[in-house]
Amino acid sequence: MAAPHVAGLAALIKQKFPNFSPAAIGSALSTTASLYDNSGKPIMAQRSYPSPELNQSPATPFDMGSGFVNATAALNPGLLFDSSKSLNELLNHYIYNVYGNFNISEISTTVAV
Amino acid sequence: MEILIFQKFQQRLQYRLDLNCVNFNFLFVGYDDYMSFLCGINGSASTVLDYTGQNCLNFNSTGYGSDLNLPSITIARLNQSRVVQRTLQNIAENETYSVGWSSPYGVSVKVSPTRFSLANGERQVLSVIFNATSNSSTASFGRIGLFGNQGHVVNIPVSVIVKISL
Repeated sequence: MAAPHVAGLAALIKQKFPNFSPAAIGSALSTTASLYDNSGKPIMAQRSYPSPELNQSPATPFDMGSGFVNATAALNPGLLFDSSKSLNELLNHYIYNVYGNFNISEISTTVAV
Repeated sequence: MEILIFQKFQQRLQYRLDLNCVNFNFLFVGYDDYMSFLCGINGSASTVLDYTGQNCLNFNSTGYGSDLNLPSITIARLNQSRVVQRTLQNIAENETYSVGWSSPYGVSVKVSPTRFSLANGERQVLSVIFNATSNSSTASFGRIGLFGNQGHVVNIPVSVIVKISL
């Protein structure tokens, strides 16, 4: 059930910082995440299908990403890793790559985003 | 004819947007960057061709997946050394950060600067220098921590898969 909880937190961040891009919201959630569970122990990953509880080791970023989300910290991230590209710049970039030099305004009504 | 081309264009645009919406962060970095990242994984070419229909020969150019300004660093194949840059923006009040890190096994990591001060809204570029110190194709993991004197802690997971030293 991670996705619905994180989606709710993303909405809270967007409410506090309405000008945050999706990348900025993701940055706030990731950089403030914790490597420890709520009993203070390292997050563990199960390493086998048979007896998974007996075959555990500390989780790597490939198991857990940045860790467990921390709602309070994510609402006050301090630093952000953001992208300087706006959505329009990005769409122009795609359109240029797909079909040559198009102006976004000529086709924007046909782009479903 | 024009209508046909336009329909085809719409299909390709939609396809590309769908692919990039898989990860919101990738929405901001572009299809080709993502392809270069996938193709940079050792031996991925046939899988990439199966799933995307794209030939990796067209994507082995300059772009590294690790150049995306994400709050993490992943290097699929570290051939001796690589410099990765990240741009940070301070959205809180004035703060001085000190930088600490742990290197992945088989890799030496240096981050500069190790200390910086930012006012609200200011940006700082962080350079991370990776050097392979052993040969391995087993993933290893490290971490970069930015510790602010006003209590903010910013963590960046670091992963290096294939390491090739001299």
